[in-house]
Amino acid sequence: MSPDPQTARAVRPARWFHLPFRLLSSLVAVLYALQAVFAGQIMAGTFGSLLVHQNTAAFTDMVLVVTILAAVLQRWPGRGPLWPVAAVPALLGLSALQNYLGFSRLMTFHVPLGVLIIVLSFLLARRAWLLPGAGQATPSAEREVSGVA
Amino acid sequence: MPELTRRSLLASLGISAVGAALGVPLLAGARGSSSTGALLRSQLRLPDPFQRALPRPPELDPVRSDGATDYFEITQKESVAELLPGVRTAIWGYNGIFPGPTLVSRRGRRAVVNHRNTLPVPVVVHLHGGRTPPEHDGYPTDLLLPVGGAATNGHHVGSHNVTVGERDYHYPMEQRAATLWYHDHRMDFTAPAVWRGLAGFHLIRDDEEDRLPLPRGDREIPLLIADRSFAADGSLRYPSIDSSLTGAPGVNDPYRGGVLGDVMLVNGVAWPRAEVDGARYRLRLLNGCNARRLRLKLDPAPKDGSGLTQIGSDLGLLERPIRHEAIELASAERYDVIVDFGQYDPGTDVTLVNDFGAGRTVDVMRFRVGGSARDDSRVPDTLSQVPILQRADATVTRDLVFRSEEIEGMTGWTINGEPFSPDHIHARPRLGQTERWRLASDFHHPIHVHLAPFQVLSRGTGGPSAWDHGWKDTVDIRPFEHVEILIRFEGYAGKYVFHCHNLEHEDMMMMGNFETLA
Repeated sequence: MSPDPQTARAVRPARWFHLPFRLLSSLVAVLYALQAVFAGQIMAGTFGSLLVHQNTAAFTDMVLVVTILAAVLQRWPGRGPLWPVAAVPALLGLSALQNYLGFSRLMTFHVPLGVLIIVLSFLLARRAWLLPGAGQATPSAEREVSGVA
Repeated sequence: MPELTRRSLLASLGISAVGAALGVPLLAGARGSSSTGALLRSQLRLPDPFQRALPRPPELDPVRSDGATDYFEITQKESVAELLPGVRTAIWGYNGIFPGPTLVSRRGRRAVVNHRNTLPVPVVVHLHGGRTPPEHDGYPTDLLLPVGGAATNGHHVGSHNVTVGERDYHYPMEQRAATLWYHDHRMDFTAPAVWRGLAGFHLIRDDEEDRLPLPRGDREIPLLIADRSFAADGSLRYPSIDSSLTGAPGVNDPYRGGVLGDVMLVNGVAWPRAEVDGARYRLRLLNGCNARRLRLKLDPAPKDGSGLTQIGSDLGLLERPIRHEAIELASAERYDVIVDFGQYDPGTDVTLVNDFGAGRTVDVMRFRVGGSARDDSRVPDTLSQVPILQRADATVTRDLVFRSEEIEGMTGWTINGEPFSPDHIHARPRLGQTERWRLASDFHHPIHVHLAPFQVLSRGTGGPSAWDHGWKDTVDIRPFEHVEILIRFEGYAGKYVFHCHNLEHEDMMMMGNFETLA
């Protein structure tokens, strides 16, 4: 049975509001994992990696700010859950703390917090992809998904 | 009240255990380490601080002088010193004292220092900061064997520059006024020899500095700060593998990272005190510790906050004074500072403290401020002309990584993965050229370059730190830190060393060669 065209039109925009959040939160996870790579290079004495580490931190923070907008979009008008709207700013807060620890050379906290942030960013990305898309909330969208599978 | 089930009890226990397993080590190690090394505890009861007066190392008169040269004589010998009150401690000393006598030279007047070695081991003398021809620079294998000639076990004598009994070191002194120091530099055994007392000041003065209205005479005090540890019998305690210092070099674990003492000596006296006038003083600070880094400040701070006005670095005057609340010094670094005790009320006890210390190594020494006294000195806004080297001045860039590595089954300290060998040359700079060296480290490594003065260009991704200014010969690099320096090679053609001045690291191979080309 094909979906009611009217319902599909109402749902489709909501699904598109989810995609940026999924992609951006995945990008954040990859960037944080890259930070571990650059940290390893700093420890191996590779000159220049410290600057790359610093610039990647700044870039990741910018991506996080955009991810906050994406989290808002997936909620309004995307009708997704509310928790990403709180989770992403919280991650940005941890990231700011991490930057401070790094600049202050407080490595005893910088390294464990870095590990924690990587774990949290992967959990965030995973949950972003597992979110029931707003489109799936309607019976017609469920059918559509099962039809694809 | 919620019911306590077995499941919830187990869950809380599990969460607490994980929290403790992570939290205890995290918090216990939270401060990290300010120095790389292990604390070697003294085995006798340590005295109360500030009991004995601060001594001033005696100035050594030349035995003769002519139109261009001052001639000095020093005998290196075993002796007994009172480092702790009432305790007799066997030392090795230049003229039998620790610190050795202070030599004073004038810029451009050659100093010839005759060293006679009556110690039971070979020695090498290096004038740290000196712009010295290579044959007189104290290359680590240029041994001065004991009078009568003694075994050179434990050494590969790959040098033709070995002398028996005594020799002259020639120092042209064609360099700016600065606080230099001389110390032992024998391959593999520098750390224990300096620990036993082979270190002293060699000051250079010049007209430029004389023209400044800086404190002088009794109000100019060199301070050699060194941590040491003592055995129960009052002898200096040191974890040498072979305490005769003629056999196997190195130290026992866990001291491979550096030996940290628990007694702070200043000019050879534990925690001394000094009576000072309420006036400006010039303190020439030298970190003479083998491995301990210091963060020195005055407690209490003077009324206006920053107690230490830096006027000079390792190699002489800064262009302008810099005010610091505290100064961080790694091994071998020197800071020339002015302290205005006139800022304190008469009768105030002012303690020089080490923020990086713990327990007994926090206090260094104490000043008791007397009444205000006539003081014509001042700190001018401009001290000297110091050209600032630019990144573009460098014609060559070299990368040097200082770290711990496995070498033939032994863990050693390496530069670019290689342990020290007199035959391996890391760099061949041309005289008259400037090079940019990019230094990276795993732990704390204070890097000292012989012959050639340098300036710090960057630290991490930023510029030099507040303590990096001026001409330097030693730069403090912290764990996993990258520092760029601009080195101006000038003076003499020949082979010189650069090395980590954590002396245990130096002895355990963290040294390399460069050969300057005319």
